[in-house]
Amino acid sequence: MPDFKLQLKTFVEMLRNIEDEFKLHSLTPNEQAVFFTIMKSDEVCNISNIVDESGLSRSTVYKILKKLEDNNLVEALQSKSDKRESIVSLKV
Amino acid sequence: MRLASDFKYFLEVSITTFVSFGLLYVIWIFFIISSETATGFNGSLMYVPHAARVITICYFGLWAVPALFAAHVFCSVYIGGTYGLNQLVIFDVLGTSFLSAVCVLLALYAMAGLGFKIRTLPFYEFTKDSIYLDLRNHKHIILVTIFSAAVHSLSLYVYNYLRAISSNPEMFIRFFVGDILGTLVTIFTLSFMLFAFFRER
Repeated sequence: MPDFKLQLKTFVEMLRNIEDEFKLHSLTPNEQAVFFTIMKSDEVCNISNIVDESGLSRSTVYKILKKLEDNNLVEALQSKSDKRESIVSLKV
Repeated sequence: MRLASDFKYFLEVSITTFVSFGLLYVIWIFFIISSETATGFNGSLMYVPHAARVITICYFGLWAVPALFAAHVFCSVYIGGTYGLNQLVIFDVLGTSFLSAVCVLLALYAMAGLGFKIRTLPFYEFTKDSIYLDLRNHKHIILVTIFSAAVHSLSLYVYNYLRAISSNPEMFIRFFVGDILGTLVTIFTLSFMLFAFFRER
């Protein structure tokens, strides 16, 4: 007779494996806020938008973007219209 | 003693299956059907309750079939009926509900017949050269979802054709795509919710 609680536990583990595969488990709440701000924007997003929408300081946003970039989740590009500005888009 | 533990397990599985299917059916009705201005047929392009069929059969096997059948009949008659869906005679409600309840099981037998080795599948003896299929692995569950969506849409299309309910082949494509999309959306949403609630802070 299978153990019902054990089956539920394996189901939760299966869901956690999906998280692991998409590397979402390693994000802190601030990192999530930045990640979802970029995700909500239509195609690309500039850093000022992220600062405004996430409510985080510019330096925190820069640190988080560096980490997300290292994790291969986002990529930063130079804006074509204003070369002083960076734009960010999702890589996943 | 054995009978008591069997019955307890059956009750746990049945309640879980019935509630999860019913919950997903209600979510599907409210988020998809009620937001449409048309007759609601496009809702089947993302049929989230199929996730309950796939997950409960993969995890609980045959034990989940009676509750799935009951949940399907209940939701079709009392919830779907309220929104003008499934205006079928009771015989057809029972027929389509039966096919929907057993479609994942049929898909697993079809996969076993194709050479996949499924350890938990009853009444089937697999051969040594089979490909091992783990019903606890999300990638394998996605494969089962695709097979079961094919079995479900094909069996319902044949049933509707034979019973002269509908002979539109577009229905087969819509059900096939809808079952796969709905299951994927449900599994990924559940995973995301789990991540949001239980993440280490």
